[in-house]
Amino acid sequence: MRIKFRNFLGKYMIVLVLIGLMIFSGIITPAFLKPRNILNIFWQTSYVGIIAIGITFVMIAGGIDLSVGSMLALLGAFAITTSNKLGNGVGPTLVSILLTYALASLLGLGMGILTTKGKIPAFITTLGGMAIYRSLVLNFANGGVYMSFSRTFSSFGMKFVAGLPLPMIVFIAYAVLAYIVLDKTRFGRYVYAVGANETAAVYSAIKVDTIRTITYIISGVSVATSAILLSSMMASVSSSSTGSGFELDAIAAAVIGGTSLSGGKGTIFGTFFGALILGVVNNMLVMLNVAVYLQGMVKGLIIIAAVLLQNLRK
Amino acid sequence: MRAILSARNVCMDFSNVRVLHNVDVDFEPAKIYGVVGENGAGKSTLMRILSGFLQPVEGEIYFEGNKVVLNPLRAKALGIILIPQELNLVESLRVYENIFLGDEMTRGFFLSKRQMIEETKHLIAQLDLSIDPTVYVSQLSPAQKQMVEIIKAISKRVKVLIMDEPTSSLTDEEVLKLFQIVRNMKQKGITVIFISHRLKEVRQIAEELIVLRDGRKVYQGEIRGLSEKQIAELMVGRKLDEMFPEKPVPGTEIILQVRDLSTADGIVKEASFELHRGEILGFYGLVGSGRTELMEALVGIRKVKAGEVYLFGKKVQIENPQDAKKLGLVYLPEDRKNAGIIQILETFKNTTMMSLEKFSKLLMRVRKEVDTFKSYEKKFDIKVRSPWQTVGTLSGGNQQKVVISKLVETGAKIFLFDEPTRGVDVNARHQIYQIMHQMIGELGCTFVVVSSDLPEVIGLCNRVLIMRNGRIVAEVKGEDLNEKELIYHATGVKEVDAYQV
Repeated sequence: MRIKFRNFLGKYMIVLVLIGLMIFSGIITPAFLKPRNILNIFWQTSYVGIIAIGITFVMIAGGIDLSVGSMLALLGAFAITTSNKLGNGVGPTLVSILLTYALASLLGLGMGILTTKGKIPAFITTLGGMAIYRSLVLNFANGGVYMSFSRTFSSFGMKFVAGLPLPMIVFIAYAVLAYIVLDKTRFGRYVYAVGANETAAVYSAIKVDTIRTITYIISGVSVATSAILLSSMMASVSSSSTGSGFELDAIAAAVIGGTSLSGGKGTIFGTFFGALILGVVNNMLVMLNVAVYLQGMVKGLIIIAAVLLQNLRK
Repeated sequence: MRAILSARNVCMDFSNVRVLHNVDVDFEPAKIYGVVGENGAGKSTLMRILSGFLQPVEGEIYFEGNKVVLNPLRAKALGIILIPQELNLVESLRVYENIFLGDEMTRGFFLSKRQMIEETKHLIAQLDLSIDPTVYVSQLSPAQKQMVEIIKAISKRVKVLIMDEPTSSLTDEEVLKLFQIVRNMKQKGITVIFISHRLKEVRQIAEELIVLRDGRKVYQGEIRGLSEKQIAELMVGRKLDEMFPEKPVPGTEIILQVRDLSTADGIVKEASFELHRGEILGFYGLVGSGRTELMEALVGIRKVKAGEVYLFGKKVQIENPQDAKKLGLVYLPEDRKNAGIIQILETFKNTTMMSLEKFSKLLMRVRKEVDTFKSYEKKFDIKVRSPWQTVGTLSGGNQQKVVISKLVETGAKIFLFDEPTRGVDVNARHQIYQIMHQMIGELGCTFVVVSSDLPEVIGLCNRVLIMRNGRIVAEVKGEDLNEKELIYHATGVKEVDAYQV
């Protein structure tokens, strides 16, 4: 009985933390709990959240992906540029979206192959990717901004469906899908096995390199999803600032949600709520008028505290 | 004689479960003690308490008659040194750096490397070993690493040396050398506490025997006059059936044929052998003789340079473990903890890991997985609280049974078992042998067993192939299947009898 309760607490602790944080914020600034604000938090969290879901796969398989922030800018710029070239309308927009996904998959595949077959630590390959993608984005825009001229492309990012912002719906749907893939499929099981003990996975006739590579493709596809939603909403991509720092927020969301940096552990459930906690904290800091420069520090403290808490519970 | 180290009424709990019950034990100076017990009997826990790595929840420790509260540093200062089963060496440092780790010799501000190297050389010579003090520990064989641990211990002022399973990765010849060292230490007045699963060795080296069972000391006394069987019975607390079942009767059909197989790394050289249906074929040899490497090459983990493999009469090309699995050929690795199980995963998930396609269409069918595990739990007598218990928390024997269940579940017919009973207690060992026989009888399986355990090789196998320096040098069976013959072929030296010193 006690053990059951402890397991329950362990599993849903993060939800309790989120609810606690929201109540706390609501007491300090009642405006926080307004539905409009909650919806906004959800909306703003979606972009990092979707990326964090992808990165959760990579991290559980024992890797890391530092390139997601720059990749977000690159893919956003790519989506805007192709949709500008192809012109207005649903057809051309769909084509540009598909092309963006194709490029994202290709980039993920490249990262995966370099890491597994090239035997380069994921930290290094993706650090390289981070620099390369950013530099490409900066170069093609000459340090400026990519503007969208396609009305179709720049409209769906602001859409509401059934009273909810589209990015939020995509985030939730994406999380459900990812949960099923990671928790309910053979592939998901292999992801855990590879991250928990690569040697044993090799001896168990698991295609370790293939599984690892697919996680990078999943990360790429997640970034593409976020990039398309974000560039459509903004109707632009800034070559210097879009996506900067996203890799840390995404990793932080996963880590707060209980994903282990050394692989083999983590859940989509945890990452989903980890992302929301980060979103709530961001929002709270703004509402409390905390100096912008100090917001990073608070985030840093929360990440460290989250991991410390997880360690102490063991 | 007065005891140098004593435990009085020592109790220990792990997560509210009592693992040591009121243990009283005394160790006298200049005496060699053998400590035996099944896995989980509390041997390692007791030793860790005696060397200060654990604090008992009740009871006292006395050193030279004085009550002491130990921590690792304090124990070291008193001269109580523990060489743990999992060696404590830093692989990326050199031998001499490991030996002086924490006690570096310095000249003013700087390390005096030359002095440390000289001192290490001196210690190595004292033990009549040949290890270069300046090579990295990662390049040493398991046996050499064990020796480095011993050198490290004697480089300090040691009064009580505790060795937890020091021989599990040593060959008989190396064991012989180790025993010589242990006897020398005794001559110098050092107390040696020797923990082992190998009862034969305990009988060889120890003067006094301590038996633990379920956290209680059930015997302390003279070892002379006790047979291996009697010791084993003390450990399990009941009469043992014969350890090995009757040998299987193999068929005549050749189901695996290997011709002139060499690995790309040059370790295995032109190995050729045949395997008959329903047979248990042993591979014996020294550590590093290429047995494991040959097995790994057969299942596609190690690259093959040349040679042919025929399975059930057909020539096959095995590039990776997936190919081997499809052909019904599976491997049980010798390193259970790192290559056999996935420690942090649930037990049932380990069982189904190699045959998930049976348990999933689009989605995983966890219910079916758990049911399958439960059938193995019953059939193999796997002791587990729940299928969801992480496999890393099981005892060695139960972990090994889980690994075997994983291999059986693939439906394979040929099993390559590498040290299947290493670190497995007597009872589980016996069960594993019976499982193998059951598989031969019921499922028509065939086994290759790589083992360094002489009684196991002799008691279990129909035929034994012996490897030396990467080559298969001899085959022994029938009358010739005895220790002398095996050691002779493995070492290439006649008249070596490991146990007569």
